[in-house]
Amino acid sequence: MVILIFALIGLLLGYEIVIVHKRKKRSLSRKLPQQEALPQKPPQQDPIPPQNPSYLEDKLWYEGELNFLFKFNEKLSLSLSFQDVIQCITEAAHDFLPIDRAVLLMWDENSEKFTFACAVGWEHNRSQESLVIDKDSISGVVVRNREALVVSDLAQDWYLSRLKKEEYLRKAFISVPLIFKDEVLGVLHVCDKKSPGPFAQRDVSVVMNIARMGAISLQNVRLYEQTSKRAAELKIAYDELKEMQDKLIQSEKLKAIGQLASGVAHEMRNPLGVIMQGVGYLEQIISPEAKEPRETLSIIKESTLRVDRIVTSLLDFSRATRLELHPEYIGSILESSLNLVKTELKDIEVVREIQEDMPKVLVDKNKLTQVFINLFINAIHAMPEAGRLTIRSFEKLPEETKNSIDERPDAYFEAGEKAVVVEIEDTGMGISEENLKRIFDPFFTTKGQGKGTGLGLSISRNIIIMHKGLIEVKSQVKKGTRVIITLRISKE
Amino acid sequence: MYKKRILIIDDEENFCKLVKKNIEQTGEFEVHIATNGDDGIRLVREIKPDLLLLDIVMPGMDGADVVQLIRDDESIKDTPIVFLTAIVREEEASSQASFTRGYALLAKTVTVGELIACIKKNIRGYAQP
Repeated sequence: MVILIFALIGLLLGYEIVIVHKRKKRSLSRKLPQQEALPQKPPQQDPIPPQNPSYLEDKLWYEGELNFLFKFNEKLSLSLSFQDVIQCITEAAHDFLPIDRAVLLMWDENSEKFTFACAVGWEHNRSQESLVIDKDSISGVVVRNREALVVSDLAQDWYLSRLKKEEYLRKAFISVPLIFKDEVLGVLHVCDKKSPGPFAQRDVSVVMNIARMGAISLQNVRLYEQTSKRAAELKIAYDELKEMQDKLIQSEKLKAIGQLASGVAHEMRNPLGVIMQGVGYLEQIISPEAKEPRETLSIIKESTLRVDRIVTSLLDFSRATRLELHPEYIGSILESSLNLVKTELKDIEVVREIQEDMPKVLVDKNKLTQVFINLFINAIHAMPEAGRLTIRSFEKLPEETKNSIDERPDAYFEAGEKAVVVEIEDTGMGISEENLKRIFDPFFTTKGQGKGTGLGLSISRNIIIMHKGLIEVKSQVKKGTRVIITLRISKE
Repeated sequence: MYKKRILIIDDEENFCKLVKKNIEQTGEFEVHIATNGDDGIRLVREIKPDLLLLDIVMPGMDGADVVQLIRDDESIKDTPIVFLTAIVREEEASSQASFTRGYALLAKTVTVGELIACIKKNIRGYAQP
């Protein structure tokens, strides 16, 4: 009886030890954090073979691994683009392990699809866009389980071999998810060992470390690229704002100059009017025989009119002109402008080469008349004895799409956009190369004193620019000058 | 001989004096002067001129104000007006000062010949030769 009781006690005590031991075992495995646990054994896969290296071999191997990971980390930190990072990850996995190929896929949570990112040792014939793998694949299993998958022979795995085929996964492989803060970024596959036998545990460990470090770097690069893009967008917005601000300031300045010029013009014209009326009166009362007094009066009158023309030109130049644009036939504007200067033509032959059936141009007729009159007068003055004035107009595709005068984006002609060209050519004295560079400068003139204000071409250029057109002058000394104006066709 | 009456309203007194001399030199016209808008409108009502030469920009009552008062007064609303101006071109004048629309514009720096021609073209009841 006593023996029986002791036996029972002994039995009970033994059972308790087993229970306690099992509890301790369970609690130990729970304490290990998820990320430090060895890869979970997936269902129906081959077990990792037991390791039995010597201590020295282990030490050397781990030193090599540490060295490799340091270098890998260094390379990652120098990679500033997404492409560089994925290349670095894939190459590292391929170079360190004795495998045939490494393939990296990126995962899109929204579409639940993978896209090919990079491969080393695998030639793919398809473009990146067309190689799309969905969640019903081995890569999908890795994403779902968020754990590494280690396979020695795919054909032997009943479940995995029936999933959607991924070409690069043939026999043995390790597939590891790239996870950053609970978000799966992609899957790294290392495939087909070069040496016989299954993958070792330390091989899996290396791939997992590569994936872990690569995921952090990918996320950092993504943030960096987003920040850079944002910075670039901000810079563009800032530059646009600055340009608008400059234009506004310029516009305000021009407005102020315009107002000042109007005020000055008015103030100047009053005394000029007095002088003209005074000269007119004296002309009436002085005897026609008094040549010198009459000549003096003539000089005063001429000078007064010259000042008046300068005031007019200054007003034109400084005024912030508003264009009244209407579709017009350029031929009719040319004719009416020529008509206004016909008394100046004298012995000059006029040749017209105006294309028929030209489209209309969107212009301010009065302003353009002013331009043409100015150019005709310049041409006439360049031919004091006689000569030929040729007026051409035709439709054309501009050879250049850049505006040679202004850098405004809206000044460019669009590719394939037709335009109307006007050429005013004379056979006069021409302009030297040196003077040609200054031809549009305000107050620059090649005419004698009193013959021009030097503002005509500046004003003409301003008017053409306001029409978003082009103006160019070509000339040869003693041969003649050609002014080429390109204007936009009216869409109406 | 009955001479047509012309009234000049312009704040530039010297200009008015010389214009008066030049117009009266022809022997066909009698010229009156006002150097501000208030005196000018009073004279328009008194003498009922056959032509008014009117400056646009004047201190106080300007050309636009004078025109409005003339149009509002039945007895003088048909007075022919020629505007004296420092404005550059006619199309700009009409867009900038709508009250000048329909009337002749004369730059202040015109010659005497142009002035007389303009007067003869616009004065009330002038028999063209």
